[in-house]
Amino acid sequence: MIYNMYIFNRRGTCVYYRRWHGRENDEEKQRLVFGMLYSMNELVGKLSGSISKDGMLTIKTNSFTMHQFHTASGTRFVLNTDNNAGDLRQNMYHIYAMIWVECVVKSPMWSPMSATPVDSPLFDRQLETYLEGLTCFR
Amino acid sequence: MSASANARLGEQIWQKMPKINAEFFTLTYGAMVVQLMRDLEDVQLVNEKLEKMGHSIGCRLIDEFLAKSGINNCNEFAETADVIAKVAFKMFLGVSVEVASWNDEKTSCSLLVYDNPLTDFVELPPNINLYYSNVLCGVIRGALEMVQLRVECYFVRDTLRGDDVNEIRLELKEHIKDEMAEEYRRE
Repeated sequence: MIYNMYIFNRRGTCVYYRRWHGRENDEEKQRLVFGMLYSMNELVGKLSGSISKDGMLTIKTNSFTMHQFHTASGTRFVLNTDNNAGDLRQNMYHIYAMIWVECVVKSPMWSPMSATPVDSPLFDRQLETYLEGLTCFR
Repeated sequence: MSASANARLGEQIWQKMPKINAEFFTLTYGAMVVQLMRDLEDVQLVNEKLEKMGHSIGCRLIDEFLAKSGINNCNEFAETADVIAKVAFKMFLGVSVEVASWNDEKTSCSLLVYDNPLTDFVELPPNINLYYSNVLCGVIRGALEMVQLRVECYFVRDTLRGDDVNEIRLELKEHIKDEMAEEYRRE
């Protein structure tokens, strides 16, 4: 089951948040999520012996799994699911390459460094259609 | 990734990219430069404006580049330069570019553009200091800024001014550090 999704820009501002299942999250929690991911990434970079290009991918607890996809341009996609969702790397890459880039990055209303939340009905629709089509959605 | 692998990747993506008519593209760009010359009336200002426009393009183009190429991180600047030359130029302009003249520290190199699609049908009046394709420098600077590389990028040679090749000098200035938004700062 997919709980919710965050998209953060490089500076840690949450530019997109959407919830499908589970509890509502407030702004404070968004900051905590980013803060944790940021610190974890630093730590993972230091602990891992080899240079990994992907960095950290998932954090698993006994009640949920947090999936992260981090682009070289600094955008972070975070998807929270239950523990049965499996590997969502391909799916998150799809969301970035086929939906985010096409619907948001190419829109003149969006600017790369802006801290304003993304307000794109097109992106909402395509994201929803795509996620609902996944077997792990419900 | 080796140099030839990048060339193959560039070719592959180029096949899949949506295309527009090359003459239409060249003429539109030309019309824009002419309009800038009329509006700004100063060649130096036009050069700067073109670079700035390129910068804005580059800041967006980087995501399309990363998404379509599947490239994520380059380990060193030499790899970055090769990726720009062999993958990025190929995928967006359909031309292949040579990387040459590295300095000893490997922080600065030249991109040799033998075939610049922007300058087809273009002739410059004599003794004018216009860098007609300066938009390319801006694109490179903008795109690299988004992946935390501060570079300087400028034309050294230009076929429109009678040189035998277009040469863009690319100099790495620094790796940009992450800067957090207001809400994460401690008082």
